[in-house]
Amino acid sequence: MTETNAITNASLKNQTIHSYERIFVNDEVLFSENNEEWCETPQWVNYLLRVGYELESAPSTRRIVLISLPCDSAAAGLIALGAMRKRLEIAGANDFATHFQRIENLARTCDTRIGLIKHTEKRHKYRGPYVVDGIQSEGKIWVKLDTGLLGTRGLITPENANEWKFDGAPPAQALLGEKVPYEKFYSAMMASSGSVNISNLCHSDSMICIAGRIMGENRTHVILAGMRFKLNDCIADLSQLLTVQSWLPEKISRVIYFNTRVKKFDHYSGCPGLVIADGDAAFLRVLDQDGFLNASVVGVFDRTIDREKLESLGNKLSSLHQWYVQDNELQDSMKSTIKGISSLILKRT
Amino acid sequence: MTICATKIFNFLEKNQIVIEKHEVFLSEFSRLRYNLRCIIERVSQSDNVEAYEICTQFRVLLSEWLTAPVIFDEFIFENLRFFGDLSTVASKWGNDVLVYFEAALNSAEKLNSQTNPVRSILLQTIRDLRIQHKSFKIYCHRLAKPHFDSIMDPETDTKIEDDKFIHTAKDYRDLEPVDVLIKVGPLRAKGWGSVPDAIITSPRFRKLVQVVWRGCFDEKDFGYNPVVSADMASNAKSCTDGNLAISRILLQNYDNSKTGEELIDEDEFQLFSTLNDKRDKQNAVMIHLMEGYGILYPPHAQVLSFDPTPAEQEPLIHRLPGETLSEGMFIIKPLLDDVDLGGVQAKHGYYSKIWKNRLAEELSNNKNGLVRRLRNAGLNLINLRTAVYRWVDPPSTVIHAPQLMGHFKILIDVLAVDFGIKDDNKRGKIQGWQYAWNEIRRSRGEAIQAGVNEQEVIEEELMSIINNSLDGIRQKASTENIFKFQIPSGKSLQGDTVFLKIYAIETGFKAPYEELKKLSELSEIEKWRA
Repeated sequence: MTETNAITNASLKNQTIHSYERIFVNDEVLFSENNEEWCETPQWVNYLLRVGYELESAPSTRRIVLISLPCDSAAAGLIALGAMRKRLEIAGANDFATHFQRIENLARTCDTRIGLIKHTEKRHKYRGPYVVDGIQSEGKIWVKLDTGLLGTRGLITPENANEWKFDGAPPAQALLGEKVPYEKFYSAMMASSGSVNISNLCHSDSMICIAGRIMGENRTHVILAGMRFKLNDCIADLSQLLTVQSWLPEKISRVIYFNTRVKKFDHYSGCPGLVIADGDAAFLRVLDQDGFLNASVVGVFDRTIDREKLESLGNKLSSLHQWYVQDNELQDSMKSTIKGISSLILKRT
Repeated sequence: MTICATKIFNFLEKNQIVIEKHEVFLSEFSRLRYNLRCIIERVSQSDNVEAYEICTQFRVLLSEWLTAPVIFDEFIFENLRFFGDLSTVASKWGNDVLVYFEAALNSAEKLNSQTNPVRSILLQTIRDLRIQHKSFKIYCHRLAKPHFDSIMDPETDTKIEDDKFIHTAKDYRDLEPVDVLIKVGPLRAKGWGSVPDAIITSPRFRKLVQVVWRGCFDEKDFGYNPVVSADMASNAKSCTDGNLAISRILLQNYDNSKTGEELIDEDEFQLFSTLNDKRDKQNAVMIHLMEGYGILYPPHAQVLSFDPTPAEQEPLIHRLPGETLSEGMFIIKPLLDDVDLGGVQAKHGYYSKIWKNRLAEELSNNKNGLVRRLRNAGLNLINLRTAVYRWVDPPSTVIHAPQLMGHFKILIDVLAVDFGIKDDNKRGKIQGWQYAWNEIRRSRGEAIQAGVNEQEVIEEELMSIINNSLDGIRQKASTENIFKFQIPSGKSLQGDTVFLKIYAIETGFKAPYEELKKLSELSEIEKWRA
């Protein structure tokens, strides 16, 4: 004999479902994840693209953002893409102006560990790498071939600096057809907010950084490459749209990659202004990394991870509350109505 | 393959999540719980290590009963006997403990004729789900699966398919949404029967059917999401919690005993968290390997491991458990020739075949008598009967055997195994059972006794040897979960290395230093859950 007593205790929260703005104004942009069928871009994808876009639109103060998701996903890449898209709108949002400064800084410190390549040079043996060989006067840097060919020197000036690139890095400016492809995708995205400045597609930029998964670059790449967009006959995956150098070689790069496993950037570049960390471990590592102390950091994590890892994130947020307050204004403007996404935005006091 | 995020978001968008909680009460089981709690409370006040061991054993028993649909049969009674006979209990722990122990034995005996209501609820639930053609999964500890398997009536029901079970956070992560998830026990993120917080924060089911004994409560902060918690802590005006809404239904299933209101069920899991071990223990991560084994590592241990992913540029490096070391990779354990295995008899499994044959013979002749004799000789394992059947399994890469040397010696003494080695031979005082024990240790990768620095040198050398054979190792890793790699002759190291595939990685353990980095059976490791 059993006694059964039913008590219903439904605690439902107010549910207001907002329809999201259409991120891709062009209806013909289709989406596919992990080789599933092509479909309209889902709202969660639109939301994360918008988060990146909005964050880069308000860069005045350092922010720490943590976004919690119900599963593993390419969310970090989407936020990075949204931020990158915003940068494409802004005139002069590229490394063009700072490129010569960085070469000059290299010369001042006499750092010969970083080589320079004359990427416009057709004769292979004269392409380099070169190392700095002194400053002739303000605005004139001498470099010499690192291969030991005697008498081969070069002079770098602000006028010809873009013919030179750092060894292992993309060119600062596309002079030989290295322009960023997929222009149509960027134009179709957020077009109602602002149009792409075509000049930016010909210049590298290092203000946006994606900090990959702690498991390594390959794992990050696989996840990002699994998300694809289609416009007419053209297909691009998320890793390509991000223009990270090693995933889209021989082209201008608008997003730099930080390998959290070995704590290294994919190439010699300036300090980023916005870092999007993929995963809990990457987020924690980036926050403790010297090179990111002034950059805004967005952490994206899958909350199906272990309790101990969740608590590590919680403890970190608690410690940040000493110096940061919640950015209610931005939080409200980016409030998610997508079921399963929660976020916290802190700004430096 | 990771599940499509879009599927999860679509699922959450379209479904209202329900938690249907069945609270169960059975007076005789409550009495048993009460008496065991009283024993634990008193014994734990003692200051010796044995007291803690006993509390741990009771904790393991109670935890299993409260989180798995166990059959109320004679084993409930038998399992309590590890505490000792009545006179020993009285002399060691005093008369009040004896009174509680007698009462516990009495309740255990009475339970033998009763049906566990948890099993009845689960049986009905699964039958209904099958009739309605609804998809379901059962979240339980791997060791609890046999209890679920035994629920179904073999004459009228089909067996619960193996793929209906999930056991780890990783299994849950990879789960496609289902209609119903079944869970026995409270929702707790740590300890025995723990489940990931994601059950609340990232539901992959329309309905959770949770069956709990009265008095067992969900953790207050279960369903922890650092973003939402921090949000609330900062007293913010806006709180974005993922917009998930969950409905709860409570169904009480009580027996009609008049004593129901007199008996107060307390939360044993809360009690367990207050037990203090006198030994120094440290946080540990469990690497769950295939074939029912696991290894505990300190959270920041550098584990020599192999990633079989073809695109991996550094397949063979030291990795951090749970960070860079993940499921699907292989742990590498060196089995180097530094353990005396008795010369020509050093062939893997030589000694174990002798004692396992003897064990099999004894089991077929007198199963109950053997278990009783082992218990009387001091082998006080709770699930001794189950363990004995596991030890008889033929030797594979790992030799199934008791975890402790003392227990192994008792087993060999009780079986009176003759290894064919005379005491007066050239091997001096080393006896046959010791060679057999060394063989077991070696199979568990415990051979290296060198210091930290020496071990690093050995691992460096090992990495360079293995790096030259990566193609062959990749091929083996694609088809086998455990395999050996023999170090080619002429190298500075001699012996084998064993590659063990990682099934899951779990945090939430605390273990003494000497229990770390040892290959152990999962049932042994469970007692170190924090």
